[in-house]
Amino acid sequence: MSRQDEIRELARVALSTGRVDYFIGWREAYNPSEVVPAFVDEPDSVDQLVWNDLCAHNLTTFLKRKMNDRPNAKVGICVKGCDSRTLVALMQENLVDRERLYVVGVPCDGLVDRRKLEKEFSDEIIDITTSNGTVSVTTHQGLTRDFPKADYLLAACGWCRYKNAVYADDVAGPPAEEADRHAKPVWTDVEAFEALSDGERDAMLEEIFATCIRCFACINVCPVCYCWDQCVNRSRRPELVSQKVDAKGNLVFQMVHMLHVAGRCPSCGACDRACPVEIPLSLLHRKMNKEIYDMFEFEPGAKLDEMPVFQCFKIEDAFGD
Amino acid sequence: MAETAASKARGAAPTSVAAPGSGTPAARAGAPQVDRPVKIIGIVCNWCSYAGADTAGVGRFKQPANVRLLRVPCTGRIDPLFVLKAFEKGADGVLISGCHPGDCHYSEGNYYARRKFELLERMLHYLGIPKERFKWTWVSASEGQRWQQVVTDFVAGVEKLGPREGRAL
Amino acid sequence: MRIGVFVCHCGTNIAATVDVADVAQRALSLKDVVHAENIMYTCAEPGQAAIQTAIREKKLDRVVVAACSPHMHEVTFRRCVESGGLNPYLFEMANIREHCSWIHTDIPVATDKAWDIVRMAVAKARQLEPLYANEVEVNKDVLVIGGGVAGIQAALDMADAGLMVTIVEKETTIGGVMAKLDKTFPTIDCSACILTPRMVDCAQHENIELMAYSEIDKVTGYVGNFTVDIRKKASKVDWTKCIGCEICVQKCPSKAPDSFNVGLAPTKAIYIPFPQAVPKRAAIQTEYCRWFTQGKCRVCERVCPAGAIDYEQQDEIVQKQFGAIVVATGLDTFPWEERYHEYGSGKIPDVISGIQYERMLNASGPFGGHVRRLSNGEEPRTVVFIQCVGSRDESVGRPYCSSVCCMYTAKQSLLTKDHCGMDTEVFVFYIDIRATGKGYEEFIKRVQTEFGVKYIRGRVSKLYEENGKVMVRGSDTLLGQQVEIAADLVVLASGITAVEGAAELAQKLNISYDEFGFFKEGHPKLRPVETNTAGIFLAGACQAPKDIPATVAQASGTASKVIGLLAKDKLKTSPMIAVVDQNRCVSCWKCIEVCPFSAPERQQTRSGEEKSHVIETVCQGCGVCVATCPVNCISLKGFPTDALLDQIEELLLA
Repeated sequence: MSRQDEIRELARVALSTGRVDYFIGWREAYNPSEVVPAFVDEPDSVDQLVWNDLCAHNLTTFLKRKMNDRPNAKVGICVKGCDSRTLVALMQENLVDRERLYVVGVPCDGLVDRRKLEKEFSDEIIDITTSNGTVSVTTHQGLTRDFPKADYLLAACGWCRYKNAVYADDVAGPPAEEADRHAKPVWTDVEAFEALSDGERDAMLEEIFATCIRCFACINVCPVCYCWDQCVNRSRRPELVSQKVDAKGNLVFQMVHMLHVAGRCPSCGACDRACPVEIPLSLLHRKMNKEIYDMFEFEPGAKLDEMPVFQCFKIEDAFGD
Repeated sequence: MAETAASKARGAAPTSVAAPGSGTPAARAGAPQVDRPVKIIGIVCNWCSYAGADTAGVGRFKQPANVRLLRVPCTGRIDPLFVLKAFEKGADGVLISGCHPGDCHYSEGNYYARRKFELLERMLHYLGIPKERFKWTWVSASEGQRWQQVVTDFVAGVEKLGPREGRAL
Repeated sequence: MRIGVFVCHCGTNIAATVDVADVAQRALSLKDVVHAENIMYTCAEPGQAAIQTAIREKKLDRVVVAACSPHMHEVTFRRCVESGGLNPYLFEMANIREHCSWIHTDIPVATDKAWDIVRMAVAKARQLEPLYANEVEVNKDVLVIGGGVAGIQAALDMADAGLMVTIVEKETTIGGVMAKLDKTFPTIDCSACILTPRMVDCAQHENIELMAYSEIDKVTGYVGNFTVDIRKKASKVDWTKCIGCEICVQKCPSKAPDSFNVGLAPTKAIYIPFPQAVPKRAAIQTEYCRWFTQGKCRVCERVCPAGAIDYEQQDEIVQKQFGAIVVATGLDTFPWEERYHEYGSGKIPDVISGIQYERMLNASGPFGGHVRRLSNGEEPRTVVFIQCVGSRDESVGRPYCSSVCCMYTAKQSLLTKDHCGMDTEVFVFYIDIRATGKGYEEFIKRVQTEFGVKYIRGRVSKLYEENGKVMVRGSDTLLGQQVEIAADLVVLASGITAVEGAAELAQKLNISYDEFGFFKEGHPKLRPVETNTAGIFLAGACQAPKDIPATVAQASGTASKVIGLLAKDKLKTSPMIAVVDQNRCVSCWKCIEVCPFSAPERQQTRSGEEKSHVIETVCQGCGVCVATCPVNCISLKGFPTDALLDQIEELLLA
């Protein structure tokens, strides 16, 4: 059975036995090149669920406690390795009700960056399929081109160390081959930026953050961001960011987000993918996670019995003078 | 208003506002061409470092005049975002000081602060703010001379870079 | 808003370096400032009267005084402002003395800095709100943890003042370490003679309840309202029936280690620690009892005339409420056998610790007060004392001085001469002699001159057995040579440590402790008997090593603090605390996790949701929850976030 079939079978069983009231996965949107989150209520409808190289969405964002449409419902959900870490981060803080959850781990070999592929064409893409490391893209006008998948991976897949879910009730198919987690994580993307001079970094960041339009997409999609309407970025009392949008304010806005998710963000990449103006937020959260790893050898959301590092302390912490 | 010794002296002396040690623009070769003393915000905990600064005052330990202090009950009260706001609004340097780990008046506040400031310091540098412009340290209520040393050294470091003209922050 | 700014000359302290008239003048240009003046001495009566007049006449609703440090006069001015008719928390001080005029000399520079400081204070003052102190009902019962001399003294003082006191003691008897001592320095009083009357007073006092063989399981609550779970351990003897006749002890066939005699001689599985124990009741150490380990015996049950043995007895948890807690858990001694391998690691029978020697000297000890070599039972002719074993020693992680060892070693050397004869050779190896108390120095001199104890300034590098003697190899630094003594008995003055389990108890109480397990006082000079946790106090060696006079003095000091705290029916707590805006709280509970005092709690609101709520009387106002709350919905009265941001913004305005 393919992973897609496994997911459908597990969802069907869970829905028909009443283990869950609804099941969150992915489905095709208006053509095979588009995948969107799916909410399946009936066991007969599970065939809409898909698993392919476009299933990037971190579905755990729908679990945040304030999602009140169906407050007592039992929920089934698909999580990739990266998604499972945000799930664990939410569990570490008791923000999801584990009794009501049924978690299906989906082993993942890397996903394709649709946005990057779009830039290769002037025409609308209608189909994307992958097989044996090659991505075949077909456009509306019938043009088909092949690309090596390795060159068109999502940025988040480039730094992935958790191909299998760290927490799952059931797993859809055989596990993916795991990276050696005893090896130190690699941070070449961050190191490249660090290598620039202070002035260069300053100028680049200003240019990048000047384009932010404060649409809040990054904050809305982030699974560990749960303050919703009370978000301090919207607050007028105290006022940390003004509604007048300027580059400096935009950077403070993002740093508020970053510092509030510090220790809980596993760099799943959802924020990068959600940004309509393609701000590389990974520049910030990857740097943050690099420093957190350096300080504590801690990977957010990797182990359920750990405490997020900024919610606790050790008397022996040796920082500062 | 009564004439005081200071106002008499003020009448006589030129009303320059150059802080000691600031030098001329030429002396700070390479610094941006803005001739004003560097402005440094110090955020200090009430029980140790604020009192330590008081002790320095009682001992008349001379310091450069560039630091303005903000009093908080504990370094644990300090949100790292205050530091970002200070830089955003134009501070040339930010200094944070609290009780030594283990001595916190509220027993644990500075343990939390220690972790947050370590991360903040690393992020600030990444955001283009040079190391010399941010410092966090511990000064106890009895350490007047240490306070003097911390302020003198920090101001000297910031002055070498001159007033800050950040673009991103 | 109508803000008044008062700039102080403080004589020439400020005015010599800061042009205060200019600063006051500039203040009028600030938004909302309707009154500004400069005053010669603001804290003096005319200065305070000027503030009160301005409040009335100019209808001020905020007052800023630019003068000395708030640590100096904030309280003074809050009172002044309150008498002038304004809420005392609508007041802010600008420190232009310690932080300005006293550390700079250039007048224009200092004046500009003072101006900046005043501007910032005005920006903060705009954000201040009127605050009202909370009042909380107070329970007048007191818990004393530990029944040594510190706990006993504090309990008696408080009970005499009319408070109901409960003493919880983990051993079967109160008395602590002092009950183990033979004589006390410098008067050579019999320790039990001065202590036991006090112990009996505790047992008989109508205001004291004694809970011996009990420990603290759990503590919740806050000052004036603590709830404590006390575990009454199962002694397997019904103490309402036991009369302390000790027949069971005589008949018991099982030997067991004797912690009261510090391992010098065994006791029985059923035991009473010493004849003057209070309460004098038996207890069974079940791990050494034949009934519990092998299912045989039950002799004690047969011989007990009162039918008090109860093998089925279980631990019992008793919950009680208290208004204040005194921690007096006392001391233990350094386990030298584990670290001082150069002294034989405890394997040489004639090398013992100071507290063991104390038991040997004690007439009610295992040897009836006769000093004996443990190897062959003979009286020693040469006794060597070694000071600073486990004190003043970085290599074993104990850099501090244990305060009492010089004196107790001198006392023990005197008693050695007394018990074994003046011709006994007694040597003391020391680094320094610390004899700071009343009569202490004279005592040392007496021991050296009248009793002929020989003091050698140097450390001992090795102890080893040879020809039936313990060879002591050390150095005499005053003579500049190595010395070797063939001793019959060597006594090590092992240093003072905190008791086992001190750290766990501190965590239950939410008080601080240092790396050695000693509990932290509120301030080493100004608050030596309080902790930073309101309502919890310290007495005795659990805070730091100290001798009996200091312990008793401190215990009485502690008692007076408790009596003062509980003298009122209601407690006023500071209003500068954290308050949660429940409309914005997202119930993430991070505030509960980080609070050092467990002040926030989950509270059911009227809509049925659970939101955070800060218990007003527990909150100490540190603000850690405020900085942790991701929504920023907790405001710290007196230091609101907007005030801090406004101060930053005001300063950095060009």
